[in-house]
Parts: sequence; C-alpha cells; structure tokens
Amino acid sequence: MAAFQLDLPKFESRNAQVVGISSDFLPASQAWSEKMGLTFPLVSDLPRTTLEAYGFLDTDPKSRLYRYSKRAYVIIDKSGTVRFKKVLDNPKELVTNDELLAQIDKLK
Amino acid sequence: MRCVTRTLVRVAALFSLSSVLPAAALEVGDKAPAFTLPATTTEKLSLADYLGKKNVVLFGFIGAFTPT
Repeated sequence: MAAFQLDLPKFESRNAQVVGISSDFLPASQAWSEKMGLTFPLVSDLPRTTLEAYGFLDTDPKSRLYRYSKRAYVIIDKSGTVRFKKVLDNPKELVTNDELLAQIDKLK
Repeated sequence: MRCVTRTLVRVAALFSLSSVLPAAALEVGDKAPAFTLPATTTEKLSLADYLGKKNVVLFGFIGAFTPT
C-alpha cells in the first residue's frame, strides 16, 4: 500500500489510476488511508459482488481469508478491457510495481 | 423409454450444475465488470469514471491495517 503511494508519480505519468478494493467497510478503509497518507482511492465492497466478479474473493471455506479479497491485480485499459490479471493465493506474495508499470508500458 | 428418461435426467443434472457453478472466471481480454462503490476519496467511485480517459490498476487487498 505504501509502495503504491511511493510509486504513484510513476503510475500517474503513465496515465494510470491506482484503485484499491477490499471487503472492509468504508470507515476502516478511511482510517487506514489517513494513517498511511494515501492519496489514491480505496473502495469498499461490503457486498463482495465486485470482488467476486473480478475473481479476487477467497471462496475456500477452509481458508483463513475466506470471504476476504486475495492479493490480486488487474490492469484495465481505457476501453474497459482487462489487459493483465494476477490473483495470488499466497498473501505473502506480491506483484511488484515494476511489473505493473512494465505491463502498463505494453499498452501503448 | 428408459433410455430417454435417463438422458433427460442427465441433461437436467447438467443444467442444475451449471447454475450452481460460478460464471467463468474473468480473463485477460474480457470486458472489465462495471462497479460503483463507496470510496475514500469520493462518495462513489465508478469504473466508468475512467473509461476513455485513464488506464486503471485495480488491486485487491485483504483489509485495512494488514501488512502490504
């Protein structure tokens, strides 16, 4: 999260909007956003319909993250088409900003 | 007749199964599902706000106050 904020100028210079999504209720996201000094939006998907539609939701009842969002990334181009998608089953893994930025560069 | 019944049962089973299974997972090349949700920076944020203007990096995170 902090890494996104740190690299935000790099995303902005590529005309890319960073948006975070979770199943948290908005006040929790707001408190965290304030604490972290985030200037990009976090959206709150309490009903989890968008998380489900994007395949981000952990649907394994045995998982500790059941009904939470996995760590996941999509890049949507200006026409609204999905151009990159990665959903990580292991929350300790991460897609680096460099990888995301390289994917955005490919869109041009 | 028994054969016809058996086939009908199988077809019915297939249909009921398809309604239970989730829709095919979103893939690269698909249209991104539209959404309008409460956001930290604005009252409501829609994917449509950026269409034709910006690329969007949408990332899912487990929840607030989790390590990232």
